Amino acid sequence: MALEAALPDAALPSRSPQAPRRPRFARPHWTLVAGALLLVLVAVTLCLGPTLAPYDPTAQTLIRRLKPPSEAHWLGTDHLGRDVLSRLLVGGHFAVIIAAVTLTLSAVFGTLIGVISARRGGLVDEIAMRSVDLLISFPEVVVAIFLIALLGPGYGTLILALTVVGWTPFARLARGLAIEINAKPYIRAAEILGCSRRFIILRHIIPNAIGPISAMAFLRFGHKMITVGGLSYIGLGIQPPHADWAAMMAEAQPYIERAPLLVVCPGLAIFLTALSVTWIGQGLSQTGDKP
Amino acid sequence: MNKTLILAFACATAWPAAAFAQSGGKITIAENFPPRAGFALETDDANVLSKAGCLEPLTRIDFDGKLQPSLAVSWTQVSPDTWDFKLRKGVTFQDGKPLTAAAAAASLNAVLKVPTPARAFSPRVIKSVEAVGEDTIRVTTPSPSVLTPLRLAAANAGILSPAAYKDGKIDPVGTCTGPFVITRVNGQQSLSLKRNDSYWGGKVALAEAEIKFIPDANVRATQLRTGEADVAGAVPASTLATLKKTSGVKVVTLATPRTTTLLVNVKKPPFDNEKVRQALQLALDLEGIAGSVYEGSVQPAVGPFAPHEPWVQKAAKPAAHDVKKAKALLAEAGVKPGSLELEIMAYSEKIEFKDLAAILQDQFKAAGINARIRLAEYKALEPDMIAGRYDVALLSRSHLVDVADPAGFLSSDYGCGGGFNLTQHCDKDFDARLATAAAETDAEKRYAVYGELAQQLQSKAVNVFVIHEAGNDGYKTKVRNYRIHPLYQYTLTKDLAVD
Amino acid sequence: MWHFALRRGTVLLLTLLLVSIVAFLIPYIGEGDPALLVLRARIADPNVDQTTLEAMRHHLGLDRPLAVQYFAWLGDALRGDFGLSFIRRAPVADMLGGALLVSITLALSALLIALLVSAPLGTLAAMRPGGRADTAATLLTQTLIAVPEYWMAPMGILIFALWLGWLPSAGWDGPSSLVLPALVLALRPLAYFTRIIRAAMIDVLDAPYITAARSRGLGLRQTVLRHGLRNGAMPVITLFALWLAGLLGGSVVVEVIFAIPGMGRLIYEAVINKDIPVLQAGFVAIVALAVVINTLVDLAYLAINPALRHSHGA
Repeated sequence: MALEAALPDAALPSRSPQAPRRPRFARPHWTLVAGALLLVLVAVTLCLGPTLAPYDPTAQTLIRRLKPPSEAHWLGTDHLGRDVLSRLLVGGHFAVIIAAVTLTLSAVFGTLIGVISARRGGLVDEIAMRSVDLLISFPEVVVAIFLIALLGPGYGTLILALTVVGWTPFARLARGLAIEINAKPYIRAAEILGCSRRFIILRHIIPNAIGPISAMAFLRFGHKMITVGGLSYIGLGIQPPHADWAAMMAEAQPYIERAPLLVVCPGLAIFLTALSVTWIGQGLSQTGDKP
Repeated sequence: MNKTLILAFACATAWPAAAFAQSGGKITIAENFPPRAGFALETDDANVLSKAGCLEPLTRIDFDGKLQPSLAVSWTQVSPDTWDFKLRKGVTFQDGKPLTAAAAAASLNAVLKVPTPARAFSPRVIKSVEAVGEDTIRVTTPSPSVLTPLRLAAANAGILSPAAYKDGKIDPVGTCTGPFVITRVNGQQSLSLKRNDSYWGGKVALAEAEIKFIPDANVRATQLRTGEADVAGAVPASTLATLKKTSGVKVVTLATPRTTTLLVNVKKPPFDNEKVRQALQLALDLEGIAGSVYEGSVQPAVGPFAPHEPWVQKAAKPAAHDVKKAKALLAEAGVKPGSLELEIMAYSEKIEFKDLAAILQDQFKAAGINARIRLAEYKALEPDMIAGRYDVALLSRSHLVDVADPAGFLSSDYGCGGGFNLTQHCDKDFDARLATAAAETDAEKRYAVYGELAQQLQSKAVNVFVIHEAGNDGYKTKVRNYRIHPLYQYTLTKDLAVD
Repeated sequence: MWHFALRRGTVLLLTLLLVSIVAFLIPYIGEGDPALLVLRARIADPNVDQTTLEAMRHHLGLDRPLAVQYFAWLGDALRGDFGLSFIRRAPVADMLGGALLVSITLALSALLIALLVSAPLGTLAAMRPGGRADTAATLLTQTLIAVPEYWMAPMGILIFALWLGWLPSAGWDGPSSLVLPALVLALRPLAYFTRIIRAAMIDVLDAPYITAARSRGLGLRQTVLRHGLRNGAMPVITLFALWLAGLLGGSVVVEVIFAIPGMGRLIYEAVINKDIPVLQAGFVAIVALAVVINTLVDLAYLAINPALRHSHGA
């Protein structure tokens, strides 16, 4: 459902009136649980990584390069003699942090715009939605590359680039939800009772919107993370010598047949992280549906 | 009756056999540098045309590094600054026009008079070119020189038919003199060629050729393994082990007159302090570098020239690896540990440079120097390097590039006002000694001076010489007569063949 | 309808104008003198004397007021002249044209593959929500969303080019070069298309007019094809357009891995080499295309289905 909210209203498949109402606090979907567990694992690794890492992730020992897993190096060493496990433990920071911050900012900003736009209507709504219509079609990778050309690679540039385009689907979703909720009788009642516009927004609209909005944020996390990783892969992400999963995969490419673990491990890390968050998003949006 | 049958049978089998022998086959070569400047001869595109077996100069350096006749059969020094070159008779351009002195002179003057001439063939080193009679080219230099015939061997001095020069653009299709005719230029992707049936040098073995331009060295090596290419130029050291094990593939290595150098901007503080430069030198573990990034296929550098070359002192050895001493020297020079920050420039055309820069960054860090890396294409970095706007930069430099004698290199790279003096080194004494060497006719004595100068550069750490390079090309075993040219000037030759 | 088209059209033009202004200002935002930049790129001489610099500045028209320069640039750009690349001596417009063609071919192929696989998959999953096909499809889509293309591409090359030798490992000569990159690029849109087709189909199959049709005696397949497709097509078309616009520059990683001369790689190399004219032109081209594609699609299906016009917000 959250995905469809990225489309303009006109494109939504028309909902038949017989669609069942979703109960509020039903049993969570299995994907939500599995995803949450996996995510906790990833989060713990990310936070404790630097302390858990047995070696300095940037320390090179040229003599011991491309060594297979052993007692000293559980996952072996890379082509410059750095410990793979240590690099793996700290390599997620860049992509995960950027994706998380971007999505949070996009969700907050987009929801505010969408909800206010829906409540006010008129010209405000018109301007906001036209901006959304146009920005939503900007290819985010190109905007990111362009900003990197201007401002250099780094956390700030990428967060800016991805948020500038990323808030738009959230605005559309929030607006759609707000309109739906606005039509409810109890909103009318609240208005008659004289509740201020801000009160209605904060007390009624936003709490009801949070569910689908967060589901959307989680569902988009995987894509964002992989996009940031893609930029790192081609050298526009975090700069050496810091470790980054996607950059590790790029550097290990020539050695893929000699030491496949160098590519497999970071790839698996990206996959599991993206999967866990997608599952959470899936679970959030399906909680209450028949399993 | 029987005899007739046998004769008929013999003819029937001999004819297709002869036809097959005449066919020659097709070769696909994966090359590094694509033509970037519309085949302008004053740029590196001239080398692309030369390697493709199309463009030929008046003289040439052969695969053993010796000067040989090419489009000119002989040359004489008529006065200290003038040389006459006698053109070969009976040579035609691929479009049928004859090679005359006028055409050759026009070609050379065209490349001499462009706004941004090539370093190897510019008004700085060549004063004038004129046609004398039907078959002689007279070349004058600004100062007396014995190196002129060597200069005419540069790819930039290649000769094209007058029809090639149209509205300021170069059209190399059918206008060269070489064993191969370009049939199709596919942008920056590939070049298609076919045999030149009227080649002056004799029969050309191959019938067709395709050159694919693939800047990523790993992809070139992969294409060799999958069979998409029959020859892969400059394969990375990391693929050597795999390629040698692959059946049907051979690897040929050539010690090239190239040294990977970490240029240091000696005019920019604190690198103007010899101690700081020596600290940079001592911080590096050259053996470790040679063994890791280059997988043991190269030697640590003893200076700008490699140990096997005739102009190197016997006692030359690589710089030591001593991090403690490096830190001490930095302290002596007044640099606080951790305070020195620099940017390492590295260009991406050399695939090893990315890892090399990472290693340098790490080894500098151990000595208390913080380094950033800037990785880009050479063309993007060159302006900053030439203008002296850099700290240190990795460079793969051939000391026999413009001319096949290291004097040219020593003067252009380390002489005051040298045309490629990126390091901004200027030492009057150095220049004086080099000048006496240039006038010395005894080769032994000349080489001895070169050796001393090289040793001086090494001990003063004017630059940090990292490793002496080796060229590695891979090719399928069905390819015959493949050799690496020491100056990477020729690949497709008339003798190159496939079974 | 025309009212809407006019509104969208105006905003489209305004956006393109804004994008062009941003692109034009690039050399002035970064540090450095644009005349010096061009000079440095053309002449490899350590000493740039002032007269040459002034001459270059005048030649480039940099001594005119900014607005005049902008309009001159815009005029040139509209005529297709984006200047010369700093790194190569070729006109930027030529480089752009070739690269655009490559990227469009690649993107369309990838999306068509995605569509061809996701349509039956999504429909199948929708016919029995929660059933085996649905669970399988869901697992597949979740996996595909989480797998990076810079994993699939090297794997693909390893398996299909090196080990099996069926497909070329890199380059862009001939249709066989298209197969592997298009397949790799198709995987994520496949996941998204499947989900949306499934969602659309579920709602469609639930709708009363379907029940009505079926009660009239039409078979399930006929019903789905005749009615479901039209209703379900619209979100898919929009998503298709979004992805097409996104892939034009967004396929950069795949293009770099497979050495494909597309738009993504062009812009990427322009960034690395600070080749400003290419960067300007590439940015304008991709964003303009993206916005135009999406506006056209919006207009198109509004034209197709008049009933939706009224429900389109405000």
